[in-house]
Amino acid sequence: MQLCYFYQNYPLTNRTPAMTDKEDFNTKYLRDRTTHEQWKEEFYRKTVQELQTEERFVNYFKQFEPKSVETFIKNYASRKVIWYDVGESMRKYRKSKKTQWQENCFKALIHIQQKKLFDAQCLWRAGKAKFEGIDICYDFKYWDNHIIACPVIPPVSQEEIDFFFRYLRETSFEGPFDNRILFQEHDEILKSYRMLDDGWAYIPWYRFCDEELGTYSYLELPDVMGEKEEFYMQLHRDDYQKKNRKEIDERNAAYLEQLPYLSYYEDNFVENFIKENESPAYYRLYVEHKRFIQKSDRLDTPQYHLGLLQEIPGNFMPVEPADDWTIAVSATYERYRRECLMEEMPRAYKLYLKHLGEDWNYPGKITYISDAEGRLAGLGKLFRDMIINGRVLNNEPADLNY
Amino acid sequence: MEDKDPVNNETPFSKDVEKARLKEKMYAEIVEELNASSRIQELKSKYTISSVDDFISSYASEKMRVLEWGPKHVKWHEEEELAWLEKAADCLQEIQQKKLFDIQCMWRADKLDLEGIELCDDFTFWERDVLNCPFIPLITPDEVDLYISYLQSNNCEDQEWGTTNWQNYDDIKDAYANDDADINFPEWYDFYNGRKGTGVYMLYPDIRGDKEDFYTRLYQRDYNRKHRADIKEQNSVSENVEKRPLLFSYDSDHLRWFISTFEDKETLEFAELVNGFRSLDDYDMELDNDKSLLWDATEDVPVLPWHDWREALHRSANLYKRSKIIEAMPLAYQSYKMRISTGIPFELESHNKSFMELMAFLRVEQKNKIKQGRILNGELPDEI
Repeated sequence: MQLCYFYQNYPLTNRTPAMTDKEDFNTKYLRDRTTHEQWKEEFYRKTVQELQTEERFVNYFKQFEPKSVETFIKNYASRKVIWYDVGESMRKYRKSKKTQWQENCFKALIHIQQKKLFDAQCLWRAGKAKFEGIDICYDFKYWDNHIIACPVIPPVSQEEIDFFFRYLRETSFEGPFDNRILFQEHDEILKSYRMLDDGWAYIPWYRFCDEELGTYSYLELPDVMGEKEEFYMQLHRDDYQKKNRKEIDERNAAYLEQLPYLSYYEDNFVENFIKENESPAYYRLYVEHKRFIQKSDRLDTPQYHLGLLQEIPGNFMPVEPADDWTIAVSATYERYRRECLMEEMPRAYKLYLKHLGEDWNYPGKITYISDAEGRLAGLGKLFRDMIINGRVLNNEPADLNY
Repeated sequence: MEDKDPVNNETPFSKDVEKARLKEKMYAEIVEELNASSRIQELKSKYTISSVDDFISSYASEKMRVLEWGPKHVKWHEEEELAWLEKAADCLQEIQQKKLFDIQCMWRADKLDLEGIELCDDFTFWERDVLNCPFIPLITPDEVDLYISYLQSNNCEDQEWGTTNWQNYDDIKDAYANDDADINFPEWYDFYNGRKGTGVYMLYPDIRGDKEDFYTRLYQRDYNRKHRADIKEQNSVSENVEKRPLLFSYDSDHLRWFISTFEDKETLEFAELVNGFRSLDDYDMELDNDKSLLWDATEDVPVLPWHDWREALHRSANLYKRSKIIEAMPLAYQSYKMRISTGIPFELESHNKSFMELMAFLRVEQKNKIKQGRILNGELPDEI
């Protein structure tokens, strides 16, 4: 295990008091680090004292050559500091490792359901289907976050799991199968599908399904409901602007009077600042440091995957050949991850069926605070109100039956 | 009473505490300096104060990292650029080591005399300074090409042989003759013999070595007989010294027993979690070396199919290493030739004066022993 990953997570008990008004984040961080280093030193001293004075240790050590006992005590105390420094983080890490394959299985089940929901969204937007629990386009985004309990789509079947396994086996290992988090962004996905951008939003699993099952035809359907919603919302926005013109103008004027934000992370601002205000020697150090950081950023993920490969018990796992070792390492780990997922799936699927229809705390579930109050609250309510208001402005009934 | 002795009060963590305090101070100073600068005042008049404060905070923390790590990165970068040239220069040494070894075989077989070589151990002296050795012919372009062919061959040694043991006659000859020897016969020697037909030197008898052993044994036997009483006394003294066993710090079985016996469950769990009981044998040093080589690679390093990912990475790292050495060979040879033509001697690697003095002392001792042995055998002491 690479300890450096955990070294930063020092015990909460060693944190110093909260930041004062005048203090910035870095000052507090550095103060915390000093306190932590002091804790380590104190812990070391305490351990050495215990080993040197407590009767049980003194009696045990008597049988050994004194100089070697002295070395042992110092060595033991140093190591004990490290154990306690990172032990808690390692405990959490090991716990997360135990559930990781189950979590990956649920990611796979979620992928299966998301594609079905996305196809349903296309049909709904084209006006070709009605679903319980879907009134407006935003509802699909709500169900994106609660997909396991979504009533719109049928449960995952064994055939669908088998088909997903084909996807895991047949598609490239050069990227994780689950590196997407937005599954129901209709407009973005469509844009990527139509190659109007670099294709980032067209989820590889969706592409696989569309190519294998011909479901890309859903992407060709017209977005009737989306256009209607946009029409009503625009009516609402125009009405709002008309009614609140004075307030909006005042806000805009105040905004224009404000000083702009210094976007120091753009346009080489920092580098130019260094050139103008620091010595050439410092500039050289900065350039060299930046070069190293860029290299570290590039190698961070393969290094992490190499660490994970080293943790796998047993030997002789074949490598995924590649033009560069960074790709080979990550692809080899990804293949192993997919194999473990497939092996674990029967147990995970059983668990899934047991909780069918429930919005339960499945392995790896992420809880979204924004929609904790349900589909009809928060943004869901805001969009509904806007659409209904637009419909009223258009002399239509104040409902969502359009 | 509290121990006020600063040395005794120091712990392995004292430096980290001091460093953390310094960092706090340094950050505060950088922020203060920035706030006082006219450029920052100018920025504060043009942009929101909070955004300029964000910039100061980000700039100061980056400046701390640059000041701490920048000099190390500069040094590593410079070393990185020279590393392959140094390795190529080591390869030139290996060419000379093989030629020196062949000369040693001939000298031991009494087939030639060399000025300055009186003892077998004299070859060990030249092993450390092989590029300055006066009786080895200079490296030729053909020999450089031969070494490049070796680097390109499948037989090329994975592990670096280092700078020692190239003239370890007994072990190398044993390795040549026996499969179960303590060391492997150097692949470079094998490759060279195959291409140059020099394997025959390995079959030469060790006449001078055997003679040295014979005279040394005679001397030793005589010494033991004359100093029997002293040796006995020495043994009795050693019997009275401390007899208690050592307490080893890195014995993982003992460490586990110690924690289980004297500590609580949490300590045992944490030690286990942090690999506290891992023995040195469990560390994959080869993989660590490969990782560091790949990390430093300045170009893409391909990985070919293999049934074991560790071995695949090792092969890739090794191929990359060899290609970089081959690339650096012409420049290393050019630099070698320049030194030769200008008469600038090669620097002795890790030159250690006291070690050299010890070597010279041991050489005189060895010569004396042989001379005494010869006298004991009724021979003249001057010729070995």
